This record gives sequence, C-alpha cells and structure tokens, in this order.
Amino acid sequence: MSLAERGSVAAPSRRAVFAVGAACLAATVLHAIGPFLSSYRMKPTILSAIVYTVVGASFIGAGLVAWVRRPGNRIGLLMIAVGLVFFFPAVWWTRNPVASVVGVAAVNWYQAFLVHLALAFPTGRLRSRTERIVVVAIYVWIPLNTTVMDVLLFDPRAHGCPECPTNPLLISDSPSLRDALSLPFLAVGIALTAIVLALIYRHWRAASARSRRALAPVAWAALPAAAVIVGQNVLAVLAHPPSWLVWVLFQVGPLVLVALPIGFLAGLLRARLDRASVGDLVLELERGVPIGGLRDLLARSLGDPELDVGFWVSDPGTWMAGDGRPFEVPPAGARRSATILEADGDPFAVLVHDPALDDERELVRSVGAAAHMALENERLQAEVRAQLAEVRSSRERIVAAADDARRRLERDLHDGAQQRLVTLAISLQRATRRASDDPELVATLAQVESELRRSLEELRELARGIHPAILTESGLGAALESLAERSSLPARVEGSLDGRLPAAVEATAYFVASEALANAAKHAGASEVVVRLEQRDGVLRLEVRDDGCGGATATGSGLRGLADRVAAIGGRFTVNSPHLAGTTIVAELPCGS
Amino acid sequence: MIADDSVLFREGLARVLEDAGFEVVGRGADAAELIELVEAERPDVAIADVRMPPTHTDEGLQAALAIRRDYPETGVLVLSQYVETQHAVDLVGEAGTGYLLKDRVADLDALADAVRRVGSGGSAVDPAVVAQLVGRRRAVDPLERLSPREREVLALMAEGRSNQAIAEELFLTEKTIETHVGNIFTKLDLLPEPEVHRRVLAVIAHLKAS
Repeated sequence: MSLAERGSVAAPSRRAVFAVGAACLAATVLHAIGPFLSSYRMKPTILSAIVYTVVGASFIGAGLVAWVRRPGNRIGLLMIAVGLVFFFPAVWWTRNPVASVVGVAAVNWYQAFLVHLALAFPTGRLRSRTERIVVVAIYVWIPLNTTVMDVLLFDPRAHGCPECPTNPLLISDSPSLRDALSLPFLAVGIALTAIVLALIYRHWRAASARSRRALAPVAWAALPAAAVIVGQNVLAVLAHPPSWLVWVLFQVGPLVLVALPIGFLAGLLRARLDRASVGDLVLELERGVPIGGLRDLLARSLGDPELDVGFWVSDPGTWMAGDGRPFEVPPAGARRSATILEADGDPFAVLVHDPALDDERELVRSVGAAAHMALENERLQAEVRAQLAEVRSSRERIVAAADDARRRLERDLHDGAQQRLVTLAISLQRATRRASDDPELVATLAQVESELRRSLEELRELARGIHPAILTESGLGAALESLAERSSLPARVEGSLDGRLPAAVEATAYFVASEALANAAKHAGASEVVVRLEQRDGVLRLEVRDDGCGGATATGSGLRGLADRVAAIGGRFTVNSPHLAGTTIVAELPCGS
Repeated sequence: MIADDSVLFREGLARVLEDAGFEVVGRGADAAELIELVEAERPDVAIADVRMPPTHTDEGLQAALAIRRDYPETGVLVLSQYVETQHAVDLVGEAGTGYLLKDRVADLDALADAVRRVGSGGSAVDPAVVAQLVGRRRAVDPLERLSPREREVLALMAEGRSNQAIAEELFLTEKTIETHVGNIFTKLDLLPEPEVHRRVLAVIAHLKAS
C-alpha cells in the first residue's frame, strides 16, 4: 500500500535536532557578536546588529519548531535556510578579501529562499515545472545582480572605504556602466517580482477553504515584509537616496521580517488538525451516527467539507461508495489526496481529502481509527447494497434473457415449422386435385389434410403461448385486447397507453394479465374480468379484477411465479382476494417514462 | 403478385394460383420488393405475408395500406400465421383489401374466391377473424338479439360476401338475404350501408368495439 505510506515521515531524531539547533545557535551568536571581535575590520551599529540578529534568529527558531512538529514538511528546513542565508552576508565585515566579496554578493540572497518558501507553502513542495524554473531563476538572478553591480563594477576603496580589503574580482569601477545597467536590471527584478506575485495570487485563488486557513497568517505577515523588500530594491538603484530612508529601510525595516516566520509557523500549525477534534469525534460517535451521516461528521473533524469516503469490498476487490456504487480513488498527485485506512493490515476504507492534509496523515488515520467501527458498519451496509444491486440486475438480466429466448423460439416456429406445414398443405391440396379419380386415395388425403390443419392450429396456439407476435408487433394494448377477445370468460380492457414501453415491461404485464385471466376462467367461477391499464409518473399499473369467488393466495405456484417476474423488473405485485368477493391482481411496473 | 420471405411457400402458392387460372406476374421476398413490383407490373391483386424482413413485425400490413393508397387499381390480400382482429379492422377500412389466415391457401376455392373479391374492389376477411369477433364472450352481448339465421348472415357479411354469394351459400333467395341484412342493421343500431365493403367495415368495427 504505497499510497498509505506516502508522506508519513518519521520525526527527526533527537540527535539531529540537537546538531542542527547547536549549529544554528553558533551561527546566531557568531553573527551577533562576531563583528565586535577585534579581527573584524568594521563594526555595525548596535541597533542594526540587534535587528538583523533578531530577524535571522526568528526564521531559524520558527524553522526548528516547524521541522520538529511537521517532520514530513520541508517548510521548517526552508525557514532555517532563510535565517542562515540572512546571517551569511555579515562575513563582509571581516578583513578577508574573498569573504568580503562573497558577503557582498550574497547580501540579498535570502530573498530567493524567501520566495521559494512562499511558493512552497504550506506543503513544502513546488506545484509545477514553471514554479521550479522561476525559483531557480531567482536563486541565480539575485546574487548575479549584486555580483555585477557591487563586485565586478564597484570598488569600495574608491567610495569612502579606504580600510576595505581589495576587491579581487573588480573589473573596473565604472559609475557610467552601472548607470547604464541599472534600468535593465531593475526591469528584470520587477518582472520576476510580478511573476512571483502572480503565482502567489494563483495559489490563493486555487486554495480550498482549508488551505486558506494556512495561507491567511502568511498573507498578513507578507504585506509589511514585501513593502520593506521592494523598498530596499528600489533604493538600491537610486543614485542619491535620502539618508533617512536608507536608515529606516536598512537599519530598522528588516525588523518587520520577523512577522514572516511567525506567519509561516502560525499558518503551518493552524492548518494542522486540532487533536481535540479527534476527541470530539469520539464523543459524537458514541452518541450514534445517523445512517449516511458519518461522512459529514468526518468532514467536520478534518475541516474538509469536500471529504469523500470509499469502502473496500474484498470480493470482488474494489472500492465502492456508501450507496454501493463504484468509487474511484484518485491517483497520487491528483487534485484530491487519498489516505487508505487499514485494520490488521487490511484496507477497509479510504478518505479522499484536501492535499493540505497530506502532512497530517497520522492524524487523518487517527480520525479514521476513531471512526473504525462506524466506518466498518457503513462498509458492511454498502457491501450489502452492492450485492443487492447485483442480484437485482442479474435477476433482470435472467428475465430479459428468458423473454429473448421465447421471442426467438416463437420466430423459429413461425419461420420454420409453421411455414413448412402451410407449404405442405399447399402440396397436399394439389395432390388431392390430381387424385380425384381414386376415391380411396382422396379419402386418405382428406384425413391427412384434416390432421395437418389440426397440427397447424395446435402449433399456432403453442407459439402464441410462448410469445404472442402481436405483443412485439403492436404493443401491450393490442396484445391485451387480443387476449381478452380470446378469453373463455367475458373480458374487457379499460384504459390505454400512449406509445410503446420497454420490452421487459410489456412482456411482464402481458404474462401477468394472461395468467390472471386463465386463473379467473379456471378457478374463480367469475362472470366477467376487467383488465385496467394506467400509466402515471413512470409507473405502469395493471389491474386484473374478476367478480368470482375469491380466496386466491399469492403463494400459489402460478401467482408466486408472477410475483417473482414482477419483482425481477423492480415492480410490485399484490393479490387481493377476499372470500366470495372477487380477486384483484395488481402489478405496478416501473417503465421509465 | 406474391411477396413472402419463404421461397418454398411463395412458389407453392404461385403454383396453386396458376392451377386455379390466375397469372402470377411477380414474386418478391419483402415489402420493398413488393412495392417495386407493384409499381412495375400494376397487377390486379398483390398477396403479402404480414411478417417479412427486416423487422419481422407487420411490414406486410403497412405495405398493403401503402399500395392501396398509391395504386388504387391493385387490391391487396394479406396472409398471416395468426389472426388478429385488429389487423382486420386496420385493413378493411380500405376497399379492395383482404386478410386471411395462411392455412387458407390449402383451400383453393376459398382462396380463389378471396383473391377475386379483393381484385374487384371488395373485401375478404378470414372466417376465423369473424368467428373470433362473433364468438367473443361478452357480459352484455348485442348479438343475443339476433336469430341464429341472422347470425349466419352476419358472419358471411363480415367475411366480405355479397348478398348473392350469401344467398348461394345458405340456399336462400337474395331477397330473403336483403331482409335479414336490414334486420341485422336495425337490431345492432347500425345505419344501413349499401356498399358491400363499407358494410364489412361497419359490421367488423361494431363487433370489435362491443
């Protein structure tokens, strides 16, 4: 059951958490106090050191929490990466020329990780090839931008920083080239920003109610953060930015970024199932679930109104819905996710839910486990329903096949034996004419002819009993009329039908009427039989009423057979036959129109 | 002109009719072929089986009605393995039609008589149809008002016989038959019909409806 196992990732080991935590702590401490050590050539202001450390640490801290709480989800690790990359440019403060240059080049790189984080939220996975290409492009573009503008074409020593280490990658300090490049670089930056915003908007539009719960805190936190980041990028390309704006955006502004990791963490944990909802579920299950109400209850517990429940039927080994119809389990990667619930290693149900629940399969499964008995109950009901539907349709098929066989048999008789006997009668007649001078032969032939005529009559009655041709030809109304005409009891047909009915309905109604008329003639001692036809609301009602002695029972073999036939096509058959008060047989047959 | 999907029957019937002095100008296997032949040969009478390909239901009957509509000079005799009174009612609504049980082909005199009647614009209804209509059990039977002789006359009338033919059959004078016919119409509350084929329809429709 690979489907069931997908996404259930074990929590990181305690040792791994400690190792990563310790490394992160070291990075944070180094970032905070490193610049104040003597080996650094320059020191940041205390304010900015605090601000930048708090921001980075907030990502790292939130990332660690998310990693431990949601081990299957990459979001935690991505947040840790944002924090570390955010710290990294501080190596610029050192005296090492290479470190200095790398620090400058990486100064905005954390923004690429941030974009990755935003697009991968909340599942931790990018959704499409386009998104992966955009994210890779941004990972490349941001350091490329700073490398060209601030490393290859910029010498800090020529711009009021004589104590800066020499720039080993300097091509030439060219303000004119930088000015020429600033506009196209800005255009690329704006284009990428627009694409990212469009993708994020699309996520929001496509998000289910449940996913929006996760996205909302991030969206709120992202607004001020985006304002600061966009401001910083605009400022970077301005020739002479006002110094107060530089102070606000670079010294204090980054503090609003703290909202982001909090937002991401809040969204992630908010999307997480409330464990209490499992408890509520157990209580509600104890109170008893109305039939068919289990899905609604589970949908509420999982916070996914579109939740679907399918059940496993081991024979014939398929999934089916609660109403016994076939149920389709979506494949991995579809719009909806599936979690298969198992008991003793055998699947018994599947929950088809929002992919936002993918990271919480353990909880989805615990909800399923809590509802195991109720689900098993519904599963058995669904199984019985499916079996019943199968029995019904097979019974219908058997009756249809029998009708078909009768029709074929009648036609074979009509085209075969009957036709041959008539042809034989013609030949016989010609022979009789020729033999006119031999009275003995004429007498023999006359006897043969009368035998032949009787055979034809018997064969005709037999064929009619097997399947009356007029039923196929002219429909039920004409066939009943014909039946009444031939009845040995006075019989009338009342009511009429417009048009033809399905063959199975016509045949069933005909045989009911035929048997009822025969019974009335044989046993009831009736003086008249009335056959009534009525078609209303997609039901054909056939009533055969006699004024005989009554006392017929539905269990008599003839009537029993009729009841079975009627039931086979989903109809109702009733016999009302009080002693000395006539017999009324009613068949109600669904006829679809 | 004969149409029947069984070659054996078709040929047998053709031979019998030729024995009786008829000329058989065409033979077909289904309704479409029959109508084509009628169009080409314009025969006096076309004989068709009720059940023919392709649907094996009542295409013979439909073809007969079409022929009566489009080729009024051609009478049509429809043969059937079963008698259905409804078919007879459908057919005798038109003059120059007949409806016979297939077995009847073994009785050459009756067959020839029916073919001649149909060919001359009259009607021919199988005695079995009439017997079923007359013999039907009814809770209230209007035929009880008729004398046994009148019933005999009614049956022959319903078969499509003329007064003269009925008179010959019953060894009575035509005058007597006319009196019986008048009495039958009065007793059954029917308006008198001078034309023989309209008389057949009136009587059969009355019997079918009651």
